[in-house]
Amino acid sequence: MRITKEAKEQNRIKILAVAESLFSQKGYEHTTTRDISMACGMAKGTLFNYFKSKETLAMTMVADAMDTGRELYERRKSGEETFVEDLFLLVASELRALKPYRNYIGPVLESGMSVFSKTSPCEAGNKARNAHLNAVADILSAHGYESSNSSIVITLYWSLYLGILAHWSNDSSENQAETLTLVDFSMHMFTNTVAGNILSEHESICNEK
Amino acid sequence: MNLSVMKNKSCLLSSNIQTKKIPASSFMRMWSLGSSQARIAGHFFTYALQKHFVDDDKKQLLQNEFYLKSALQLLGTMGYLKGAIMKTGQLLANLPQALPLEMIEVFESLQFEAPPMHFSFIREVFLDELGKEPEELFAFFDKQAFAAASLGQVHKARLHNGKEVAVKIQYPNIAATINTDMKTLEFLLQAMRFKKDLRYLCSHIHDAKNVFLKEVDYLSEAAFMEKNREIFFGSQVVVPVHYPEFTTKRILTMEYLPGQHLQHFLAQNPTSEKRNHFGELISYSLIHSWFTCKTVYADMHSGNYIMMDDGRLGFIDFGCHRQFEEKRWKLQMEAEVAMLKDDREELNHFFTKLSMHETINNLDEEWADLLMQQIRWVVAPIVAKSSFDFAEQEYVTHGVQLFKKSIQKGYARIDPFYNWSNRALLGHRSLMYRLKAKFDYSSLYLNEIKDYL
Repeated sequence: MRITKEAKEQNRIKILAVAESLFSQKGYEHTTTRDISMACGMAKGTLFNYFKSKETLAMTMVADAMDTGRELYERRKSGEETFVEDLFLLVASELRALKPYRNYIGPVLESGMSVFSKTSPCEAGNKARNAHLNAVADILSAHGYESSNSSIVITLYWSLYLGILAHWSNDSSENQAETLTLVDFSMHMFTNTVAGNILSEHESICNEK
Repeated sequence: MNLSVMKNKSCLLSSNIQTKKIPASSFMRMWSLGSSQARIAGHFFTYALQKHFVDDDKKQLLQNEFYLKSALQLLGTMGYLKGAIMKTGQLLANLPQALPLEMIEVFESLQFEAPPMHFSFIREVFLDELGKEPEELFAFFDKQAFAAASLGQVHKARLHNGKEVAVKIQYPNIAATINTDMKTLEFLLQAMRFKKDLRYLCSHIHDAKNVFLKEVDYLSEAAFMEKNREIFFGSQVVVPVHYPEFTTKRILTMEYLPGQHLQHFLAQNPTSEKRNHFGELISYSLIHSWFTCKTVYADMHSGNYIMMDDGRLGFIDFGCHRQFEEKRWKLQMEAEVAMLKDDREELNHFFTKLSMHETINNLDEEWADLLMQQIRWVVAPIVAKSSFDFAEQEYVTHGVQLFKKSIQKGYARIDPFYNWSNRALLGHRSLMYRLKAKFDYSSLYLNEIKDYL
């Protein structure tokens, strides 16, 4: 039986919604693809036509949330933001959209956005990484700095960003306030690096000696 | 690493995070009676505080140096996380008699003016606290802060009904940093092997921590503000109304009071009548709140008062206060009555309790004598029973000398409450000196204490 494009999309949306619900109820670790397919009323093999694995499925959910976060950022930004404010707003908006997935984002990112692989084996993870870094590159460009996704500057940014996500996933402070200060600190550090302030700091350390 | 190198490192740390040092620590504010006096006090500080060290043990000194270095690194990071360093500064202001010089220098060099929260940051705090962005809640919200608060920053805004308001926003996660900082401080004190008084020092730290943690709760501040609004209602002291619908533990929205802070007021060379008038109102704000709320208002600094054009005094910050328990209040009142009567015998009983001794026989006589002299200095404006000149040179010099001696003595075995009342008192005298105020303080005080006489 042939299935229309619309029906396919409906199925995809349904699988994601069911999986999200099961992850919340049973926990990410304790939910299997069998659980998801059963809850969706479809064969396990059919589920695999849409998502290769549970990890890919979860990473897709996270990537969709990151997309929503970036849309939120676009709506919230006024265009008057400084470099730091702009980056802060992007990351904070994404974190807000990712909040429903915070409890299990750690293992999802571990498999979907490994820091040890420049090209993630997970397509959804790779797409999410590129989409986020493109938004960062746009911000850099808007503030007068050009970069490519393979540049050292972007690698530094990505390390900071993953560190923020890792901290956030385990942040027990109210409203993850600790992460908020970490985002600010990281973005200050990053913008200082981009603006070349690190060099002047290094010079002043040498002068001290 | 010697102290100057550590200081340089701390400067670098501060520049790394784009902050600047505040012009004066709370301690220096306390001693703002004059820069030369402050310098003299500094010398005595050196002498008095070094004796706390086990100075004949080189190994120990090296260990101390290691702990200081660790503290520097740790606090350098925490400085960014805001609050803790400033709170440590406040703590030092309460413990000038007890901390070693090396520690004070390191802490003072690390006192940051917290980097202002940018508007993107503010928006996140609003979403977390009130569920909406500032622009959704207010008709107008100024993105730039107009004042710094010890735990946050203040923005001007306008309500939809047209009322001008001041919105105080707290740095996120500040309570946790204060907790950590106080633990670090306690650890350092233990590691530095004080010869004596460690348990008393730790009790001061616990006490200060509790006061500071209460200060981070803006709902608690709003409640104390409201209480003060009631007690000053109809007087020339104006306490702003707060708006509960825009107030949470970390955001405090209150009526904006137009006027000038002390520095700007004095820059216009006001008449002596105006200076005396505001001196009297500031004194009234302290004494009336003390007796009516049975509370020490421990944040007597110029930023918390506004000289309004119509001659009223705006009293705007109620975070740092310490309430007396009934038993302690009773003791305080008995002591104050004895102070007015210069009743040394009765005061010796008070000193015994104040220094947590079982009997009067354990009282350190030298310390009690010094405290007695300080008390006489404190009550001088009351027993004068007429207009008193708070800027009179002999009075000011004598006060500075007495407190220098007190620091020299280094007596940590004292009820922590003393820290707060002392802080309020010195803050008050410093403000009076800056105003060169001369008025009948006696009537003001005696009118408040009359029910206890």
